[in-house]
Amino acid sequence: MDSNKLIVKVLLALLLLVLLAVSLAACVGALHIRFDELVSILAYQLHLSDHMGFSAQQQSVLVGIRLPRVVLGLLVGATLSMSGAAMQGLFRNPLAEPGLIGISSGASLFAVLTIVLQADYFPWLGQLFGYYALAIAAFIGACLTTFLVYGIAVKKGRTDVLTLLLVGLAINALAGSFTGLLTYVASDAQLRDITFWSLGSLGGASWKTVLAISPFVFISLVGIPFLAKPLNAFSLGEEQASHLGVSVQRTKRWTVLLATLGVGACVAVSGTIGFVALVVPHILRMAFTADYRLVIPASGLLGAAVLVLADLLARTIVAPSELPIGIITALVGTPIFMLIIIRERRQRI
Amino acid sequence: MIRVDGVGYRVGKKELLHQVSFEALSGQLVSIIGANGAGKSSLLKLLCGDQKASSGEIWIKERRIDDYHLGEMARFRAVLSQHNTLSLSFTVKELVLMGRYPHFGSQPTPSDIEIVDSALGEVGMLLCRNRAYHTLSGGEQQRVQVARVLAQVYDQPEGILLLDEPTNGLDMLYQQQVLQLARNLADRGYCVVSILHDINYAARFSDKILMLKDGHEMAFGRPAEVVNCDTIHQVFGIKVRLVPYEHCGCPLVVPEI
Repeated sequence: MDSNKLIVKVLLALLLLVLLAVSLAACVGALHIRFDELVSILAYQLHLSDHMGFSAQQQSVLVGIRLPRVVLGLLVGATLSMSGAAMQGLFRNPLAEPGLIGISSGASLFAVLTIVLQADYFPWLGQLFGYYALAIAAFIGACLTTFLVYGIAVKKGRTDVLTLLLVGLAINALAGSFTGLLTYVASDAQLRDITFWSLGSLGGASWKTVLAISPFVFISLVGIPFLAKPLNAFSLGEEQASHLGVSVQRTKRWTVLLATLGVGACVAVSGTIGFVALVVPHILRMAFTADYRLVIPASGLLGAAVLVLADLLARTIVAPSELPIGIITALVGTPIFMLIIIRERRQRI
Repeated sequence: MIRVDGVGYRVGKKELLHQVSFEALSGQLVSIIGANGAGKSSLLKLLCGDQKASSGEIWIKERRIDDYHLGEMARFRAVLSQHNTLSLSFTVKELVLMGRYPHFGSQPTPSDIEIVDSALGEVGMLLCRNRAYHTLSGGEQQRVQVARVLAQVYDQPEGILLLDEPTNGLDMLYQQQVLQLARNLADRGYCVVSILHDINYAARFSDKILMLKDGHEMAFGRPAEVVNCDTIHQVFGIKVRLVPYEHCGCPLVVPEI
């Protein structure tokens, strides 16, 4: 079976890419760590050897700062890309992504609200949740928006995809204008926070954040691949999919649920990181096949590698300062995206 | 195999079908013909289970259609819709393999792959199996969709095929081939129900013809019984002439110009 062989080959190759990206990201930075040092620190941490071929500073930087950041990058990249692929299948539109139906902007609106208003109006929020207040607000924002969008677009158990898209568009505009409004009342420090949030950053990574999003992210990473076959059938049309025995409503519900869960959690800790969810599945489609049995898991791996590498750039090119990661993903993503569109147009003729 | 018993279907106040009854057996090709808006597609939607009848009952293999699970039905009943679009660029064989989705879990078995090739062979598209669907011509795309539908029930001797204008967009050669394919499938024991526009094709290939007008059943029977100037005038509102045709038990219908 050639198609299955292809899937296995591609996934193995992407896994190698992920490992490469991880070792690169773990080694490069303000404090340099050689690859053999990386290996011996890991071996030491896992109690595989007690040989200390590294300095204590290297160990604490790697374990305390770099590794959680790399792991967070892997999780966020994988979740965003996989959700993007699933959304594109659900909407039967290759331009769809979680941002499109308002999940990301709803989340960032709540985050911005928290940044600007928390100190004056909701001090209890910070007292209660401390460092997590922002993340929790963003997650609630993501869920509320999805429920709102979905509530309007779903009538009698049927989802009207066009309405869903239009409502998502409206919510994006609303959230955008609110965010814009709030920048006027924000202080300088808050403004910087807002920018960082709306362009995304993995700067807040720690083992705590990794742990906080893991349950949500794992549910969506494990669940979404099961939607591959129904989503393939969706590309024929919803009626045609149901003739093939696919439950249309159940597929829609699960896709929206799993994507919100994952993306909400990601936006909550890293802000809105654009283009990954859109471009990564596209690259895979162009390179190999549109079959979601390949595209979904491969998006997870490629997305993880891409985001880890993008974060590596974000924190090194203007060191000791840091760029928001969204700037990198957009800078690299846009030209690739344009190329894809141009190539696709040529093929269609 | 399919029994439709006094079925009515209304949307809002509009009555799209009224008291339609007919039966399609295993080994039969039944054609549904009628003018535009006669309710042909609505009837087919009821037979697929896409919509529920407002009154009357539909029985499939001696069981009420509502009692079937979506996935259960998909294993023996395939549907060719009138409008087929594909939102992503799949290859021909990937698309036809979708027809096998009801039959395998996560991995297709070797027999699924074989069936894909046989189905493509039946419509003369085997050589295009690795082409991208979007690069095919309209007629080729239609034939690939036919192959997908065929693949779905290929190994189901008691299968049911519901076709909404299968000859759409095909040239004369392939119109004939597709209908001949439907005829052969019926002869192999399938139950085929098809909406057709061309009354001569319907008469030549089908066992029974159902004529609809404004949601009402005007005639149901063997082509020789129902194809005559009167019923055609009633159903389509045009005057026709019948020309004897020696290869077929039924005369040719020619519009009177």
